[in-house]
Amino acid sequence: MTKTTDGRGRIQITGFDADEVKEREPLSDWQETSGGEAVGRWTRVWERFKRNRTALIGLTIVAVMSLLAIFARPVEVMGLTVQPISLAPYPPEEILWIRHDVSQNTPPSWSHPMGIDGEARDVFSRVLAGGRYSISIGFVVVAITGTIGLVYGSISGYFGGWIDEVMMRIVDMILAFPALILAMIIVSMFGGGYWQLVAAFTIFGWATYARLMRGEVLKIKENEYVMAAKALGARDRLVIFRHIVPNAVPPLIVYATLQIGTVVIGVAALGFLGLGMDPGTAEWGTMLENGRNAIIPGPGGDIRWWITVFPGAAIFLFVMSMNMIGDGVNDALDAQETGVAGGGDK
Amino acid sequence: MSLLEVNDLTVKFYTEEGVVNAVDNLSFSIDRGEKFGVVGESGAGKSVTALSVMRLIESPGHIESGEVLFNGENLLEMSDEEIRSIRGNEIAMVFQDAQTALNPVYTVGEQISETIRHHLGYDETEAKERSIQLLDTVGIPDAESRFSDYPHEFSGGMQQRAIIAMALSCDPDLLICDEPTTALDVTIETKILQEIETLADEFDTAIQLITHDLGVVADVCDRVMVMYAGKPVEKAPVEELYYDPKHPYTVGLMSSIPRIGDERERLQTIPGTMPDLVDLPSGCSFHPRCPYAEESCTRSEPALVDPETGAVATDDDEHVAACLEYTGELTDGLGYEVTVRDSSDDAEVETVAGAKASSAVDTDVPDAGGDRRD
Amino acid sequence: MSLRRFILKRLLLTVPILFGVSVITFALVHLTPGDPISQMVAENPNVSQAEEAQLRAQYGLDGTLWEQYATWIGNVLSGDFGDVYGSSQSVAGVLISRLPETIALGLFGWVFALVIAIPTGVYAAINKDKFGDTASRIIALSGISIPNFWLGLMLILVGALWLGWWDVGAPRTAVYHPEMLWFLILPGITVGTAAAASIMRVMRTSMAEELNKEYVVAARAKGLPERKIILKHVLRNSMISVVTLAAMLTASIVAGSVVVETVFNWPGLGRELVQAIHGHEINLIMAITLFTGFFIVLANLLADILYAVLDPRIRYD
Repeated sequence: MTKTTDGRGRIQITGFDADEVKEREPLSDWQETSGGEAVGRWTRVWERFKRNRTALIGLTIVAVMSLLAIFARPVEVMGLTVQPISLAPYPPEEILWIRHDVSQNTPPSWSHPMGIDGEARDVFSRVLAGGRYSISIGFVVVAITGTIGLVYGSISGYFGGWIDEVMMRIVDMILAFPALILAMIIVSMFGGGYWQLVAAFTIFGWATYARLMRGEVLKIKENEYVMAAKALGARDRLVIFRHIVPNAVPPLIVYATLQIGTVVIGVAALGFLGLGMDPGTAEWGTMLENGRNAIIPGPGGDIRWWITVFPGAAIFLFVMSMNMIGDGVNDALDAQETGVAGGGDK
Repeated sequence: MSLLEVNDLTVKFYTEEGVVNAVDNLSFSIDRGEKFGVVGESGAGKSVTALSVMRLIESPGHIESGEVLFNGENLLEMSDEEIRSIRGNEIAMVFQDAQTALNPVYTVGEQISETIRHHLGYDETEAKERSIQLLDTVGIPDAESRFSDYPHEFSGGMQQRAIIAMALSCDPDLLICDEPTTALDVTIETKILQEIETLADEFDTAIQLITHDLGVVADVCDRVMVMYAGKPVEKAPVEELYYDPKHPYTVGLMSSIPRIGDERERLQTIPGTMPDLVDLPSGCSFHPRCPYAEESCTRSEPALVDPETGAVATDDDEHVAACLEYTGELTDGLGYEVTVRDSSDDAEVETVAGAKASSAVDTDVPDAGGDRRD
Repeated sequence: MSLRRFILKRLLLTVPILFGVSVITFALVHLTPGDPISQMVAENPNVSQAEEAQLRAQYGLDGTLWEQYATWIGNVLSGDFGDVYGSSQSVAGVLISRLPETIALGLFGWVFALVIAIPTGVYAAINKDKFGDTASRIIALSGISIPNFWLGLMLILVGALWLGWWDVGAPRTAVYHPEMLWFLILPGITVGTAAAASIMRVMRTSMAEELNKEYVVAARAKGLPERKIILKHVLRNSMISVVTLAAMLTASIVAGSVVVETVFNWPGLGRELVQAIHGHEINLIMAITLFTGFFIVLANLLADILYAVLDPRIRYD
């Protein structure tokens, strides 16, 4: 500084009048680009998601497969037919050689695009209907476990202290076991069947959500608006559900999307291990279990690939699409979180 | 011959929103041992200029044209191998945020001696010895034991000192300091700046000091370049810039510095913000924010000229500015006035604290310290 | 905190978790209907009530739940996991004979995952958004989406039936024989694929994130060669996220081996567990479950320690 002021005194500028710029008419039509437009947070997430082609393909496939599962066979609720459409050419359980001129283990043809399995059933019909169990169990399980985990994690994170300590140690204990092994044992104890499978993945499935939620709550709890709400004397329950939960939910949504795929694989895996639905059921995993002996070549040395390829490909396609959606949701939410709109990264 | 000579440098970034003209047709030179300041708000292209000099611009950025002559050799035409032997060795860099510039998983000592081993071919023990010596030089107490500490065990000021030690480790000819004190407390800021200045003299190193803070420039530099929207708008020796600023943007920057004993009712800050470099205003980029702008400013883009003669700037011109006023295209002229008050009553305070006090206070002024918004 | 103290603290924290793991294991099997004795009784109406009581006593299934747990955990701690009802072999003996098979499979899967995933992840991050990156992302997405039992079946279909390189039904060599590596290929790939895909994704993301950090620019500004910057500076930072994932992946490999062993008829603990579940062999179920839980807790502990070794910041929390 000494250089500039030595003996020369202090500089003062006068006549730089900022108001002049504000008051005058703009000289050109150039305008400062205004930052974020006033659109809602979720609208922006959806806008971003919509631009993600991969995620949209995933969403389409999931929607189509779910619809096919619903409309494959009529749906009856307590003896009442609520959905009369039947897309599948044959009842999935029907043994075809009784009424039709087909034999077991026939490769795919025009009339049976995915072939005939070892019990003389139409594989195409079975694959169409086979998503019913896995897909619906996937959604049901995620809805239940997500809710439980959300509440559990919020309580743990919000109250902290020894409550948090105890609650999280319980989560640690549960997470010490692979979900599939826990589900196997639960099914082995309760027996197979639809609601047993739901229970198998629900009883312990909430633990990961709880841990995620707690982490988010801990982060958000320190935010000023939460502090302010608390300082103003808002009730705990109100603070949690009004201020914390809505902000902590994004990572849970991402996990939930991916979790649907995991549960679908899990249900199929149990079916494959003979622990899921009844052996003859048209469920993707159970079909693979039935088809396992088809791996051993038939009498003529022919390889009966269609029996295992199609049901498994259906699971693969569904789960892959679900993961594509999950990635898309993640990207959409992530960008939202960090405020990086349209950046090339991620 | 200048140590560093940048000619017509143009750098663009190809982003989703469009092409960002980060640096547009920029020329400047730095002499051996000279301290050169680059000033402007954030987004003016100062850091991009610095990175371009070291050829560290990465995709989606691209150096479109121009040359960067270092000791007469064009860095932009060198092989990767050659440029690497210059980086860290002959040109070194001090970063804005020392905490992020240090790798968290290696010790500070290792990160310094790594450079020494790489460029000077020292072995492990020699490099360690020199690193400790450097840490000591930059004022880290107990350097020997601090050598094996991790970055997170250092305070912010010490981290920046370590970065300076690292930069000086191979006796560079040019030290590029990119906002070296922005992330630091004001008290430490002054010390670090002094440290840089003394060391540069001691090591006979030229400095390119990038900052948004005119006070810092006044403290350290010999010559200054003011940048706006990727272009240089004024170049001058530091005293001339202060006592006789020619470009309205420079004037705006200076009038937004608060001063102790200032009796103006409020500060005159520059209205608005730096334009988005994807979509620059026509003509002079500064016109939407300039109180003296006229219709002609929206049409023609001013070139850097000698303000006395209005002739296009040459390398010999000491003081140049890019404003239509100096080519006679403005009708109303620039209505600002620089007064130098020589009041003897507070002269003492002034000489001691002058710009230092100003640099200390202006941290809270949004427009002068645009970078702080980041 | 020194590294040693950090490890000690983590070890102490593990003790209550292990206790909880044993409680969950026990509860899973005992809080639900269908213990093997009632099943035996149901299948064989000739069993008298006195005989049933005697059987229960023999298998430690009498008394209150709490007493049963105390007896069981006491026995477990002294190395006695009880007997297999069906064959009256000791459960411990079964564990010891099956364990090497599963370890061989899991280890192969892990090595396969790391060898494939780390270089691919690094490659993808460096060539972000170029063709190679896109291709590897699609492969990784498929990898985490493919059901392992189906992948196993498909590998058998292709490798054994179409190419004829493996013989599905043939007896294999002993587990310690070098030739074993050949037999491990298909099940090993099957068990390791999901882990490989996960590591690839995490590696790519964290590496790309690290590459954007300023210390990388600083390292370049120091004049270090790109290779060294990536292998020394960036890789170590990116590995931190992979290590965080490692414990989770160990769990996925353990769970995967249950399915994969069944697909490939691999005589390990996983297949044993499936058979035990079908046969209601509760001693065996409990032993394998407990073992799994312990193993994963230890894997977590190891990952935590590795994490602290890689990232000096952790030790000072």
